[in-house]
Amino acid sequence: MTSAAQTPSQKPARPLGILVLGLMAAAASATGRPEPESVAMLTGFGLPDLAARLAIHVLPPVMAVAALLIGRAATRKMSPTVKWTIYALLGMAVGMVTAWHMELFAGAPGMIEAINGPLAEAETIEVLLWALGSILMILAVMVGAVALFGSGAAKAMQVEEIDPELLDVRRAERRLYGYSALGMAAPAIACMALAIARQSLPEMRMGPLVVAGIAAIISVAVNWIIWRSCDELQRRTVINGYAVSAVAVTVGAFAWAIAAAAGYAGQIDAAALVVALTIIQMIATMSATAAAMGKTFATAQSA
Amino acid sequence: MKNRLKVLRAERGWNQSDLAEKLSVSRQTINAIETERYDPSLPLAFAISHLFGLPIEQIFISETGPPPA
Repeated sequence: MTSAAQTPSQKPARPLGILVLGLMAAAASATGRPEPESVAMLTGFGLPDLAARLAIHVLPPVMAVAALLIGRAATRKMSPTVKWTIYALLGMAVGMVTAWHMELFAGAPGMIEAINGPLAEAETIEVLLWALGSILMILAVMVGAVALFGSGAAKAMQVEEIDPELLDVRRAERRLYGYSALGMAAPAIACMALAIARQSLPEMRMGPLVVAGIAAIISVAVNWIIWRSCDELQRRTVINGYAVSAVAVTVGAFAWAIAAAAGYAGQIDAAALVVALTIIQMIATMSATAAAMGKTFATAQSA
Repeated sequence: MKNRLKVLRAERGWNQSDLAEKLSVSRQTINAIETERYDPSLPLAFAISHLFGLPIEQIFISETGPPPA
């Protein structure tokens, strides 16, 4: 297995992530339905209806690629933490603009309603549960691709030039990637099932709640297996993530309690607490991972 | 903390995966140590020392120097 070609002096891996992300955004856009207000706005400028709809479908991949290119150019000499924070903010902006003009996965609500009856309009917490579930599911698919296809998938998702040894995913490592994908897919399903239960008629809530409960149990079990497989750096990264999220949520909950006692806030929703905890923990873990492992090829070479 | 892990590894013709396997850690951990993003625990530092047959202070170089006498 020893290979002199894999010493640190080899050339950086050429990133393919921009192309892959553009294709993924185009695929997601194909599932969507343009919002009537956005179509009306464009037809108001004189565009034919078909051209207006087409323009809205083209918007997500164009914005995703543009955001990545801008992010790469703007953050070239920045630390990994700042770099990935800016990427996350750009991604959030692209997501918000897309959601404003287009309903993604437009066929999904109909399919859910066919199985579980009519769904009420999603309120803030349900929207957050859907958004969190979607983000976790996208991450699960990405990590799952590495588990299934190894180095090829890892290389296809890079947006920066990085040390090629980091892309060398061995067969033995794929099992852990597989568990990680399952560890993200399970809470994604739990979040979505909880949102469905909250939006369902009272007599139709038991099914999605059972699914949410089972998914949550699987998530805990898989995370335990992953923890047992982690080495010291990986465990430290996980602990850092939990430490930051625990402090942030404790302070946030205390501030909420003060506001509630003063009559400025209502009772806190447990689902909101779960969403806040998960999002903060996810950001903190990603930030800690980026700080420990996210060194780009250029900075690694100069070290 | 600075270290000579990358040089020592290259001298033996090992890649990061080879070294990770010998030390029972992930390749990302080796990468993080080499790029000085992570200082290993004492047990891992001793394992590295034993593997290369060198004292710890010849692999890891303290930037603060020895403690005052």
